[in-house]
Amino acid sequence: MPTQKGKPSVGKKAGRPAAAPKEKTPKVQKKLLIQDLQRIRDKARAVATIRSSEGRAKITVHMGTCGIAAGARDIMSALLEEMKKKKVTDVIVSTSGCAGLCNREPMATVAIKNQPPVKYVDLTAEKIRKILNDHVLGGQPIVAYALAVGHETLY
Amino acid sequence: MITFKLNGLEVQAEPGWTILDTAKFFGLEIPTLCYMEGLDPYGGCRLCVVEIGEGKQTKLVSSCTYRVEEGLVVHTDTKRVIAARRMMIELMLSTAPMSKEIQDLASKFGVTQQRFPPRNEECVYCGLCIRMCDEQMDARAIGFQNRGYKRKISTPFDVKSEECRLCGACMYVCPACAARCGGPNADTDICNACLQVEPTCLETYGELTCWMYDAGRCGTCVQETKK
Amino acid sequence: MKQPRTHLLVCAGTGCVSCGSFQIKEALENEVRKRKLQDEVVVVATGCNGFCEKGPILLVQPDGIFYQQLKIEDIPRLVEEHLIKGRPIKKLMYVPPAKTTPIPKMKDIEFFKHQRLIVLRNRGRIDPENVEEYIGFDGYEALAKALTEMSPEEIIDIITASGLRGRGGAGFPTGKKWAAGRRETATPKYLICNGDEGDPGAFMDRSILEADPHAVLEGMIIGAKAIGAEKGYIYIRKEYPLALKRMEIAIRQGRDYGLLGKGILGTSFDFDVEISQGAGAFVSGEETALIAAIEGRIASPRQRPPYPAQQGLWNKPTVINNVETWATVPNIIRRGAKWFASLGTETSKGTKIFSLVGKINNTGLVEVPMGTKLRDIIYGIGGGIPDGRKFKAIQIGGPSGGCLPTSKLDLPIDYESLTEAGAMMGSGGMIVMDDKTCMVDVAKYFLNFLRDESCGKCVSCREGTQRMWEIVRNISEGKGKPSDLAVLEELAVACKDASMCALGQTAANPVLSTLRYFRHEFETHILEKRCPAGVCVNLIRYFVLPDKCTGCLACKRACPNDCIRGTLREVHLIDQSKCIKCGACQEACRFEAIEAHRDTAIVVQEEAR
Repeated sequence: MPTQKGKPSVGKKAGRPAAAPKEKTPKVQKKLLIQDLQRIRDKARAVATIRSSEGRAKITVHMGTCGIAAGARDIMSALLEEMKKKKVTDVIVSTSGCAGLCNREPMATVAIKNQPPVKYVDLTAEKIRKILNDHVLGGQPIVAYALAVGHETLY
Repeated sequence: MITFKLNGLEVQAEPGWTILDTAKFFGLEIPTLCYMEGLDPYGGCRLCVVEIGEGKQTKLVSSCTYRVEEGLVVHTDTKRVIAARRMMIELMLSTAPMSKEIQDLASKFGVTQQRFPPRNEECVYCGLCIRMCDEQMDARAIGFQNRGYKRKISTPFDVKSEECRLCGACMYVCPACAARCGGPNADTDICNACLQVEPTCLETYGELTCWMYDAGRCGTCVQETKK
Repeated sequence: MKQPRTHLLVCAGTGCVSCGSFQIKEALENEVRKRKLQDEVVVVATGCNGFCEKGPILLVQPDGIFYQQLKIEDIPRLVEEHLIKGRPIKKLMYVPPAKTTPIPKMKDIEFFKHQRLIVLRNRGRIDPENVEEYIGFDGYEALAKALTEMSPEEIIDIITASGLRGRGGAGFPTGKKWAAGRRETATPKYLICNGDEGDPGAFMDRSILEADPHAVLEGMIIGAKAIGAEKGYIYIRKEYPLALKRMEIAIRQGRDYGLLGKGILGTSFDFDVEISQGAGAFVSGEETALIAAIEGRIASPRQRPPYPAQQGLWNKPTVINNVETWATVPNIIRRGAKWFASLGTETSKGTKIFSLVGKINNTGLVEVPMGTKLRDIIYGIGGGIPDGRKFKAIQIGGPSGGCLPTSKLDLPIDYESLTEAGAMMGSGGMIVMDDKTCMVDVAKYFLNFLRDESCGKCVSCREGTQRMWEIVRNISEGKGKPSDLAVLEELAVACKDASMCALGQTAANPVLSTLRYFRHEFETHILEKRCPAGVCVNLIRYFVLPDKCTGCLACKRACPNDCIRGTLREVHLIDQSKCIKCGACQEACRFEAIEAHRDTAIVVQEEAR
């Protein structure tokens, strides 16, 4: 988990609200017990996934000038909010430049490990949320939103 | 009692004795310079080195600091030891060429050349003066400064000492200034003349000119009969 | 609230910090905030990434893109192009020497590809000032296991079975040392972490302390349980302020989180540590001198036995190990002795960290399994010698080590094979030298270092290093005599044999190894008064070749000391009495008309002034 300067460290007693970033007196850190180690490890899973660049699945939101013009940044925000809500920690999110099919932007490619990647087109915030839940978490690609399955052929 | 082998002989020593203590007890002579009974051993001059161990894993250690162990194998005068002692004497002579004590050691051990340009510091940094001042005179007025080739002996921050009682113990124990060779070529010759009871200063000046002439200690020349 | 998607890992080891990486981090944070990406993108300062040649370094995860040699001006474009538009910037990526295509991903770069990171597994990956990140990457898992599931004897057995040997230089079996400490009954027992790292060119321990201080702490707490110690001292040299700062933070966090102090992790085990700062002496890396320093006395070694494990700090049993050794321990406990012993060679198990410096393309920190060939490190990971020059020698082991020539390039790295070849594993410093390096100059450099750092107790070391330096200096200045080599060897043997501590005992190694493999170079200096590599200033003489000189005045203008005489279209002449051998004239000449030549063959005619 990212720890920004000024924010008190994690481990405060349950129920106490998160302190404002500018708070001067730090909370008293609770001393860890053995079982707390696993808890912290679980909480750090998202960080571990990102930093070791190894996820169960990879979602690439295509940006590029055309993508951003079509609203790819909002798609990205919606995706990240949904991931936070559903506590998804083993999926990595990446960006790429223009994918080539500019009139179908915003686009995203979902690649689950050991499965062929699926390209989704004409995305909206709601569609990307559904893709996350049904395809990434549920395992069922949404054929209706997809353009194609599989990699592009490179000559 | 600890049993170990000294020059092939099995000897017994009290726990806590060093190799040097044991050798002295049994009348075996090991040369020393920075060792003095009554002061903590320092192990700096490396003259008292002896070879311990067997086979290929032998090493040289200073006998004044090495405590005896059960089953230790010690040889006091191997080729390696003699070569090391000779080099130590040659090195010390290059910083204190006028010291009669070191010149005598040179003669005794067959050091016949001085290949290093002399630095007339008249000090071999053996630390006897410091240890004497600290341990026996309880003044601690002098100490080592700096490390390595910049080593020197002085009072803290080179300031005139308030602890020094001018007892002269430091000069008394110093091997470099205890007796100074007064011969005509003192800083370049290792002439062996004093040990042969033919001191060169007698011829040149008509009398002995060792500094701090002390009938009991330095009168070797006149007290020993000509061979 | 969004789940962050990208982490920007800014390398903040001392190397990159000195290139401005803290400013880069600040610029990144500002730009991220400006583009309203702060919920999606996190900026983290990590420890040393290892590829110090190319700092400041940035690693973008999860993309795995490696950016190097960053400047503040690059940051806005980086954020715009890569983070927003998804187009990584080729211009900021690494390009291998003599090639043109950039390599975007870190794992594809030769420097990183061949390394096996175990001790350095967290480098460039975690924020060393945040213990929770350390825990997030399996930190303190080994400690939990050691405290709850293992007895002290079991811990020592695992360390012994793993074959771990001290990484400070001597390579003493760690399990044996711990067992000796355990056997003693006097209390309290102490642990010491030796972070003095005095070897010139070595920065392995500094990197570990800056990148992953908790690994060292975890190792020490496990060791404390094994030996029965209740207090530890971490000795870090004062010249490592960032390492000191990060260790202080780590200790403070450790105490806050119940990982140090009384009742660690809720068990009944107590252990705490204190930092002890070094004060500028190489000799205080010697274990008995270090103990003297912590006790407040002058850092001067004493006779061993008794060894520190029997009588150490304040005469109590003390186990003292190097930073790298302590940092390896948690990995062994976590993954098992058999796993560790499966790496490396028969006698040298596991991996070792080396600092690869000198005339090499990829300067940095590498961790490789023992047994890796020198050739693979220099040409594979190191990327070869820059400027198309040829390899000449590699100095391994710092001032206690030795130089190995081309004939030894296929030597596998392990304690025994290096010692046999005349070098030493040492703490892991590797200095690569090319054909423009003079071996006499190298010997002189190390002897100068050693005579400065000798504690001064033993005549053999104090006078020995001084006199050896004098002889080699004379040789490098053209004042050598043929008898010098014999005297040098005699001195070297005496210094090695008669000194009390390892500094003196190994002080002769630089001289002995250069004499063993490069004797002809010494002889050239002595007999021909010539320096083949063109380094020893007194033995080179700049000389204008009359048949090539066009009289263009270029060298005359370049000369900082006004020692070239001549007018336009007239052959120039260098006044040797004023020449300071800077070489500026040779660089300025476009006709290759200036040569650095040896002394005796030239007779320079003095013109009338």
